[in-house]
Amino acid sequence: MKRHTLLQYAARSLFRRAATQRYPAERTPTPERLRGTLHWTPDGCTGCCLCSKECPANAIEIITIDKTTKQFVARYHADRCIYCGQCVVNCRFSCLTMSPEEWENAALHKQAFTVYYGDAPHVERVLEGFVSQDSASNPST
Amino acid sequence: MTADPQTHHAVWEGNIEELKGLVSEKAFTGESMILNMGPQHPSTHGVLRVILELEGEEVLSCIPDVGFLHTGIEKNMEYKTYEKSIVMTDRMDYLNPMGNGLVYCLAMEKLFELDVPMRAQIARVVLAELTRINSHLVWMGIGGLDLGVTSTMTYAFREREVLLDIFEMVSGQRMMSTYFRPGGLWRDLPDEFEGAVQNVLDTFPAKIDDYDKIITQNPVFVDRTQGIGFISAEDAVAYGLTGAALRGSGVNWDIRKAMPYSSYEQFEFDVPLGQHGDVYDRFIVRIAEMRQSLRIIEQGMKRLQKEKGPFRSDNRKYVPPPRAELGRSMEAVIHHFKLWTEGFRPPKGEVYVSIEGPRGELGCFLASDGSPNPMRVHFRTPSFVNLSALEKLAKNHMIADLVGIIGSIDIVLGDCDR
Repeated sequence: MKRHTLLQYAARSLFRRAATQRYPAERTPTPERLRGTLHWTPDGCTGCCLCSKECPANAIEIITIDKTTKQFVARYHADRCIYCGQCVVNCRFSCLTMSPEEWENAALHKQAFTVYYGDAPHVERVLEGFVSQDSASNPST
Repeated sequence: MTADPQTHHAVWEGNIEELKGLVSEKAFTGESMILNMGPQHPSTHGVLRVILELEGEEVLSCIPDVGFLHTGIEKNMEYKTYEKSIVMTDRMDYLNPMGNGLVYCLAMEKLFELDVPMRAQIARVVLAELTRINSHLVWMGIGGLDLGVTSTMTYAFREREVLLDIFEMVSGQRMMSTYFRPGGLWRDLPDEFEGAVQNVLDTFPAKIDDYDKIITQNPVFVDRTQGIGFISAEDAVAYGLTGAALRGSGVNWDIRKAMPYSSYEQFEFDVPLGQHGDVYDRFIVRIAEMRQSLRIIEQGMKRLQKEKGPFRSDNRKYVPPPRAELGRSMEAVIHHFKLWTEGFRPPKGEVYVSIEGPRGELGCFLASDGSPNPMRVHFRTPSFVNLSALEKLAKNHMIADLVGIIGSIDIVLGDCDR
């Protein structure tokens, strides 16, 4: 009789609901602490660059547009990021957040992994080839 | 390695003289055959290459060749500050991320003489035991798969999902958790943690019993594991085996009992021992360890309900201040900037700390020269040491048994090569 455990288990499993999910149609809610895509807002950023200095993967660059009026653009390399959340912890002004909703980060081309955050005219200037005024703020370049 | 143009079979172009002293003389006269197993082989649990000397199907000698998964993590850690390098420890042994983080944090805390609040210590024990069950489940699934019990894998991975959901809820990542920090935890345990762990405590004992039966009452599995891969207690100690590989031979050595860390001395649990030192006994020991881990988690959860104190040390020389303090204290802002720009400067010295990981003794050696970066970090990993006994275990067994033996010492190549 002892040897029938596996058969019993298989028979019971026949009438159970499948353990797997129909993923794109059915999605589990993500926990609030999930570390997904990084977001940066220019409001409140003082350009102290703690985030880019502390990043173990050199995934963040802060580009200084104008230091006196505190205008910055963040270049985020999602392909380098290891999602440790260190930058979110050490930003004093809560400019950085990691979205628990955005975790499907696959893309077909590499450009999708370089993300620019900031005011639209500033981002445009950076895309046109603007070089940061403060070279010390970019340890990765 | 090149392909023979006529047969399209791979041909080894290595020099057989290099193997002198490692294989028997028979290999040079052509009486026995040298065969390469791995590194891309599904049953070697990662990228392990084993050079086998065979007579028919019998293994005369085997040489494990490691280093294919070398990531240079130890060297890389020397170029990062202490706090930055915690993220790298998760990536060594990917089945035991909490354990790796724990041993690194314990080493740092010993070096800095940093106190850890009781709540953090108990939370660490609970999470380390959950990680042990997680690791043992993967081992049981893959180990069963190696020996033809294919159904264990689907069951074990289904159960593991519950544990990974807990890690995700606690730390924000399923595997690369980086949850333990010097002086305590990253954040306090969430409110849902208690219910999720209670669910594990309610459902797992019956499931572990089921898997125990599926495997130990399977005549094919029992025939293939009993009397295979024997190692005596003396040999196991001489080879430096630790963990279930050592306890399977009947040696009562568990670091949680022998050198308690992180308040393990306040928990009641037994150390399961084997009698015969074969693959089967190592299997039984690990199944019993999962039950003991559940016992520890149960006690830990009861104590966590009472311990509501802080979850991280408030020594501001090493632990950054919480965000709430930054708005009102200038001193906190100074510490915040100092810790995140430069890091802390620990006293000069060397420490060695070891914990009982799922695979055995996991040790961390940390040498500091007083600068913000560690001078040397070295991990004594159980996979590497246990793998050295592979030849002893596999001698005069069939190739098919070798697969089970590799599974029974439970190696993770990320842990072995680092």
